[in-house]
Amino acid sequence: MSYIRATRPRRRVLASVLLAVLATLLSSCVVTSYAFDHTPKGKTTIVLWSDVGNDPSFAQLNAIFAKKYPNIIVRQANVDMNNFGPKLVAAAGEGDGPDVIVGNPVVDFPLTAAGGAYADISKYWNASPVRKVYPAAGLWKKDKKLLELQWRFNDLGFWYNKTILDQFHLRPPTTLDELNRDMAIVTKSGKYKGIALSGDATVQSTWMFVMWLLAQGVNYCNIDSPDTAKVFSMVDGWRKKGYLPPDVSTLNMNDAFMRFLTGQYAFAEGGSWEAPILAQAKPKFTVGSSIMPAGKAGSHVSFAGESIAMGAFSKHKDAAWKYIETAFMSKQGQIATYQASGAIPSRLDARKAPEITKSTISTPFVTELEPQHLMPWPNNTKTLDAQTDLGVIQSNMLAGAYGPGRAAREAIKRIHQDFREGGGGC
Amino acid sequence: MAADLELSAPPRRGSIAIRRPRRRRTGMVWFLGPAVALLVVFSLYPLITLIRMAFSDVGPTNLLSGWHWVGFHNFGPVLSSAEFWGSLKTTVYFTAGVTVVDLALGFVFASWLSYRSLDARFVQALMVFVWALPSAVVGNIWRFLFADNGFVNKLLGEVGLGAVNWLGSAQLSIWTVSLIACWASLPLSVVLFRAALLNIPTELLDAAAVDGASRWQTRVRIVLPLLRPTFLILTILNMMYGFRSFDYIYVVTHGGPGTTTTTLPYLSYRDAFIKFDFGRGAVEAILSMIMVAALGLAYLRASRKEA
Repeated sequence: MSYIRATRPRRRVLASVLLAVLATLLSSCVVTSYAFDHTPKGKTTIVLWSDVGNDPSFAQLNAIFAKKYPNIIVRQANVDMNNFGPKLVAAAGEGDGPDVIVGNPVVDFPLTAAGGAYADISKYWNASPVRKVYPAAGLWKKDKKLLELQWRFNDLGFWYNKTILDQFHLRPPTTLDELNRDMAIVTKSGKYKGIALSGDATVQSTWMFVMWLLAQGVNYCNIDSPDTAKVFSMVDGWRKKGYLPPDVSTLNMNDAFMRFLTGQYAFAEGGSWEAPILAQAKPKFTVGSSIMPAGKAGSHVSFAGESIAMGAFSKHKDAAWKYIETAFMSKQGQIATYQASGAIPSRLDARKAPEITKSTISTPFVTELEPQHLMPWPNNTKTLDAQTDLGVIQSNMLAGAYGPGRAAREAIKRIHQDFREGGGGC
Repeated sequence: MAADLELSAPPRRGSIAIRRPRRRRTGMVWFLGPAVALLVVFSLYPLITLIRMAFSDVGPTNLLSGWHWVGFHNFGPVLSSAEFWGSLKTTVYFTAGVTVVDLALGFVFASWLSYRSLDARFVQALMVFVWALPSAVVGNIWRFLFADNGFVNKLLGEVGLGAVNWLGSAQLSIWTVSLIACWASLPLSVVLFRAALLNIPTELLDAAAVDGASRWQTRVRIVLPLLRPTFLILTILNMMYGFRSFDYIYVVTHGGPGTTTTTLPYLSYRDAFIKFDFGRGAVEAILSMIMVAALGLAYLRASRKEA
C-alpha cells in the first residue's frame, strides 16, 4: 500500500508532463533558438519581417552586410503573405514592430501605410547617394512622407516556346493581332495549345489579366472605356477556341508557368522571376522571352515586386538604415538579388551591369520598366479591393459563369464603386 | 452516500430538496472553473467582439482601437448585395451535397461494416484514420487528384472517357468540393450508423425472418424506421458542418473559380481578411452563425427527443 501511495503522485506528475508535451506538440507550437537568442555585448540586433519567406537573395545580402557591419546582427521572421499586412498593422497598433520590413507594396501599401507601420525615411534618403541612380517609380510615399523603397521589380513579359514556333515557321508575336494569328495556327495542329494563362480569383492573376487591358489603352482609371468589353471578349474567345488550359480558372501564376514548362503551350505570360525556375527545370525545348505583345495603345505593364522599409517603432533606426542601404540598395546587393531571384534591380546603374545586360532572357523585362512601357498604379486606397473584384470577375468569366459582356459590365460597376469608397481619386 | 443527502423539512411543492455539502460544492467549482474560464476567453469574448464589430465601422487603421458605432449600417449593403445571396445559394448547394451523400453512403457502408468480419474491422479503422486527417492534407491531395491532368482524369482516359473539368467549371466545382468534404466526413456518419445498427435487437430481425420478410423488406420496414433518430441527428450535424464549411473551400478552390465555390464563411473571410472590410465580414459571419445556431437548436431538440 505504501508503495502505491508513494508512486501514484509521481505517476500523476509524469502523466501531466507527458500530456503537456503532447498537447504542445499537437498544437504545432515550436520553440526555436530564436526565443533564446540574446544580443552579445557591443552588438546590435535588428529584426527583419519578410513576406517572401527564405528568399534565396537573403543569404547573399546578409553576407554583404555582415562583411561591412559585423556588429549588427540581423534576425529574420517570416510572415505568411496573406497575413503580412494585418500582422504589421496589429503590431504598429501596439506600438511595436520590426526594424526592417520586406513587403509587397502593390498589395499591402494602402493598409500598412494607413496603419502607421512605416517610419518616414526621407531624412536618410535625402542624404543617400543611391537616390541619384534610383527611379521615381520606386518611391512609395504618403502625405509627402517617404515610406518604402522598391527593392526589386517584377514586371510581366512574354515567354514563348521557340521549338513550337520553329515547327510552324513563326516568329515571336509583337502585336495582339500576331498573337491571335499564331495561336490559331499552333492549336489547329491539335498537338499544342496557345497560351498558359492563370485565371484564379487572386490579385496576381488580376495583375496578369490587366496587361491585356493596358495594351488597348484601358486601365483601372478609365475602365468604362468601350475597349474593356472588347478585351474581355478576346480573352473569353481564347478559352472558347481551346487556346487556354481547360482549368485556367483555377490556375495561379506558378501553376500556369508549370503548364508552359510541359512543352505543350506555345506562349506564357510571366515575369523575369521565372528565369531561375527555368534554369532548374531544364525544359526539353528552347525558351525565349519578349516584351508583351502590343495592342493599339502599345505594350504596357504595371510593376510589382518587393519593397524595403523601416519600421515606425524601430529602436535602432540608424542600424536599420545601414542594413537597407548596404544590403538591399547597394549595387552589389541589387545584382546579387537579380542572380538569386531573377527580379530586376531597382537601381538604374545595376540594370546596366553586364550580369544583366548579357542575359537575353532578362532584356525584355528590363525594357518593360522604361517609362514608355510602365503604367502607374491608381492612387486610391481601395485599389486592392478593385484588384480583388476584377480578379473574381475574370475568373468567373474563364470558368464560364459570366459571358464577356456581363463580366465587362460587372468590372466597370465594381471598380467604380470601389474607387468611390476610396475617396474617388485615381 | 447517505451522508451526502440532507432532507430539508418541510419539502416545498412536494419535492425533496437535496443540499450538497459546502465542501463538495467548492470541489465542483474547481472542476467547472477551468472549463467556464476557457469558454469565456475563447468563445464568449470573441463572440461579443464579433457582434461589436458587425455594428461598428472597422477598417485597417482602427482595427485595434477606436471603433465607431454605426448601428445596423453594415447590414444594409450585405443584405442587398448579390454576392451575399449568391454565397448563401452556394452554401445551400454545398450543404445539400454533403448531407445527402453522407447519409446515403453512410448507411450503405455502415450496413456492410455491421457484419463483424476482419475486412470490415480493417475498413472501419481506415475510415477513422481518414476522419482524423487534417483538412489541409485531404484538400491538397484531392486538389491534385481532380486537377486537369490529375489521377481522376487519367483514370477516365484509361476507360475511354474524356477529361472532366472538375474544379475549373462553374457548374461542377461546388459539387466537386462538396464531394471532397463528404469523403472526409463520411467516417463519422458510418460510425454513428454502425453503432445504431448494432443496437437494433436481433430478436426483431429474427422475428421478421420467421415471418418471411426478405432481406430488403427487413431493411426498409424495420431497420430504417428504427434508425430514424440517427438519421435526424446526422442530418442536422451534416447541415451544420456544411454551413460552417471553410477549410476545404480555402484549400481546394479559394472560393473560385470566380465566386462559384464562395460559401458564406469564405465570403466573410474574403471581405474581412483580403479586402480588410472587417465590419462587413463580421456581419456575414454573424448571419451564417445565426443559421448554424438555428440548426444547433434543432440538434438539441432532436437529441433530447431521442433520449
